[in-house]
Amino acid sequence: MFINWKLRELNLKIVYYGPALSGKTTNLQIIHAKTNPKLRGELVSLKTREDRTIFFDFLQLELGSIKGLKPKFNLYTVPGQVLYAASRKLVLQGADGVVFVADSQMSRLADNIHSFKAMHQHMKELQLDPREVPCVVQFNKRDLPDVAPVALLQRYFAPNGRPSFESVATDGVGVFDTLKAAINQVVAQVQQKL
Amino acid sequence: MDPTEPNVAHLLKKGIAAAQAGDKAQAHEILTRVTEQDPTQESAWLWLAGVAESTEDTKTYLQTVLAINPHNRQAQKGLKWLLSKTGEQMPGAGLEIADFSQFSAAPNDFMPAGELTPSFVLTTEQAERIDECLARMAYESEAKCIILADMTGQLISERGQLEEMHTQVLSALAAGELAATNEMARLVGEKARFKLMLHEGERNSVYLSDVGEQLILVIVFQVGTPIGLVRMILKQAVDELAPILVEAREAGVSRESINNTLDGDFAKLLESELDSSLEFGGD
Repeated sequence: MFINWKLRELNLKIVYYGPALSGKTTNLQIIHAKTNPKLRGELVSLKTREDRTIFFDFLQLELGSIKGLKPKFNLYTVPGQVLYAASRKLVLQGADGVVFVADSQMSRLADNIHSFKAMHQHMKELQLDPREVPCVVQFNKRDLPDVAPVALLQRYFAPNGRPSFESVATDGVGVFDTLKAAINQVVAQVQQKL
Repeated sequence: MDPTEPNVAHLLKKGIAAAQAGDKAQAHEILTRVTEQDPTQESAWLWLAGVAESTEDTKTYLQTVLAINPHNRQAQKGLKWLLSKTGEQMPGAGLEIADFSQFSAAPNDFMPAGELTPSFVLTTEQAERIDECLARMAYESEAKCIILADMTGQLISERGQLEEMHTQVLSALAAGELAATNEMARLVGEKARFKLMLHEGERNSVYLSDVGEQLILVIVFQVGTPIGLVRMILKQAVDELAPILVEAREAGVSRESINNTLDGDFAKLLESELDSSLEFGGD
């Protein structure tokens, strides 16, 4: 969190984390495509020729002033491929909240679990308590045939009532619900910490 | 995957044996490990359904079996029976949370909760001092644009011809680049960090430098500006900026004035602002 009292700006960082090809970049692309251009910056993607994220994607959203303070949200994705663990940790630095994007396919459950565990490990290395970091979970690709039951995914990734959303990010379904929940959680946490 | 884990087939056998011997807790633990290593193990999920502690758990496991193999007869039969039974017996029963704590967010070995993120607040006066410093640098170096950001890519202050620069994006990229090169320094056995980077273009060049490990200065200047001059100005700026930012991290605006702004009202107003600003159409 960074507040500039002169400019009356509140800056918050939200990171989309998850295993390879779970749809993190797609979330940002949809947010970029469907948000009023006046409220969002450019979508920057550092990717390979095969369209795989190599470092991160970045998108800034800027809302109108609320009680004299202008909220700005810096959205990042991490690269999902196993190879880029170091990059994921770097991007996670200074995050005010995370969105964990899980691939709902049964065959990807193990990848989701490993990614989720690694995220907690990175948080600990960055001296963050994973229980304290605001986190919402998105079960993506619900339109595919072999998806795991939501109840099962919730047990793994959203126990104790953590907010979770079903999505088909490619069609934009669930993308904004997830983002809104993440923003609300982050702001609630900031209020609590002050 | 952890190579020290006993192989999946062996574990599965053990889990099934435990279930057959009536040791539900043991069976649950072992079979859960199997599914964690290989979630496509249909029979592990099926046996888990058999040793589950609640009907809701059984239902979830059976659904999982069917997600892997929609033709599994046992799971079909079990689920059909269960649904007819639960329809009568447990209307609206809540989902009991199974003991999945070994992979959910509940590790025990944390340090006491400190600051969530290295957050800080700039007072108007501090922001003005920083702006002045950057303005002077921009003037003296004839730079096109100067940006001060922190290591996480957060833009703190900017000066110069900003219209054509996406300064927030530049900050994010600069932070990423410095972080990446620092990691490279570590990997090649360099003890100190790489302190600065210069990218020379045909018309513009970009100079990146870290300021006291926490901050980054990005200077965009025209080719032809003597690099020695930029460096000298940069060094002066670093000496000037560092204490302001230390101060901002330590004290800053009174908590009270922030609290007055960021209250319950703020959250409500933010929510309605989100609803009206973000396009939810087609969602």
